Amino acid sequence: MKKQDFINQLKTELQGLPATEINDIIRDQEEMISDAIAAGRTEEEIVNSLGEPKELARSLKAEFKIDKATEESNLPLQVKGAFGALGALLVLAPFNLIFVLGPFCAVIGTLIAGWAVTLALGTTSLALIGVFFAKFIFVTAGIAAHFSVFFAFIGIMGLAMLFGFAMYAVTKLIFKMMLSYFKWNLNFIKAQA
Amino acid sequence: MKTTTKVILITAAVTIVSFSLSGMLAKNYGEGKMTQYLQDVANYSFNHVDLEFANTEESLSAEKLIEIEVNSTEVDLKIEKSSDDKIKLIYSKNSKDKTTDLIHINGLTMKIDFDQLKREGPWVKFNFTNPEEGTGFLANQSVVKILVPENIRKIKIKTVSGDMKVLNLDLEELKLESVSGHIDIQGKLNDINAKTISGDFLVNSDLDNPKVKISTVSGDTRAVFNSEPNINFNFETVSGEVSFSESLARKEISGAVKDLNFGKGEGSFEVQSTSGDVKIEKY
Repeated sequence: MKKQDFINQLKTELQGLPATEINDIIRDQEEMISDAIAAGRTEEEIVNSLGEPKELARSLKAEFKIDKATEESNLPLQVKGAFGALGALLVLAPFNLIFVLGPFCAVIGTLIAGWAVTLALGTTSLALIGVFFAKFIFVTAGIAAHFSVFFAFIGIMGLAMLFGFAMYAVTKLIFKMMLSYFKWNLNFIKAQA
Repeated sequence: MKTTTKVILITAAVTIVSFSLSGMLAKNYGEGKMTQYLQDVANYSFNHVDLEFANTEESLSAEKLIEIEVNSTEVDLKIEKSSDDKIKLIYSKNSKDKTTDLIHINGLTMKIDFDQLKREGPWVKFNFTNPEEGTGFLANQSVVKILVPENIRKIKIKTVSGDMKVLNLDLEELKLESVSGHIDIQGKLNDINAKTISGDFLVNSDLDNPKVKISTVSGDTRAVFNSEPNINFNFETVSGEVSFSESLARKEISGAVKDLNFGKGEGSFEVQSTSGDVKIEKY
């Protein structure tokens, strides 16, 4: 395969990535091939050593998605990006159904459970404060009893918020670790290719 | 310091201060009174919120009757004294509720079956209409109030999960059975026989020498006396405990109790439980 055919095919396979990113990749690949030719290797030899454009595009797409998710500071967008990177890794290597999808599902399940508890705690605290104004204040018991219950409910609400902060930090940390694992997994696949 | 850190620290401080204040105020108010307050809140709901929806009152002749039997699955029941010689049923029903053949008379006994009061409405409804009731989700659970005249001498009630509250009746015999419903009896307790598997009991006695027999598996029993108790107390249990209010000046007992007399021990208070605890209080 000639250099230009390889570049054209790679460009086609990279569709889906931002145009600037495609241009950067193509420029890098062209430079790399030109450098190799200058070093005395033949065009065909170099192109063959790069493998199938389709496979290379998949690997580059996965790398782009992992890097983009890792750099993302907004947690919901990072989570979305991690799912995109997961999809790219699964397409790249089917054995990742076991080595990536399995651990990913376990971690996501744990995080969902943690967020469900946070949500339940938050909802309960709001409901308790609602019930306080709906029922507790109508019972004659003295200001000390009313305030005791009210402060307990405010305390539960504070606890729910702290739990929420903790879950946010844990989620961020877990996704950071998960994306590092994705990166390691991608490098491993590239090394094996 | 980052804004997030500040928010977390402020939230943690507010949480700690709130719980500390709550604990201090509860301690200052009194543990027993706090429990009573929470109980009163539950009663408030029972008395003021649920029955506010009552839209039906049936008045029935109680002539020649001496006994009432009530069966219910999940309907909560509140039994009180009638101001005249009629039996009155006060409850809420909508057009979809099936209430046919609710009442049967057999000799001297009136049998009322609330199993047929099937709710068809939503499980919860949001109440904004009456600010006095507050706003919030209200369970669409039925509460039925039964008013009984003085000629009724015996009452038997069975429920599955429905709570029972019997207030200020002067009866020869009161027999209550439930699976998980709570049982609350207040007034002159001449001859009470109450059973539940997991529901709790609140027995508030106007008499110093009531005759009460309670049986439960895991429900707790709270006996409140408005005067110095004059009872012979027996407690059969596997792992239950007995505690007393400060005014009775007695030490907590772990396990079974036989013939513990308060005063002359003229009344009797018997509790059988597997793991439920008993607390005897005098105010």
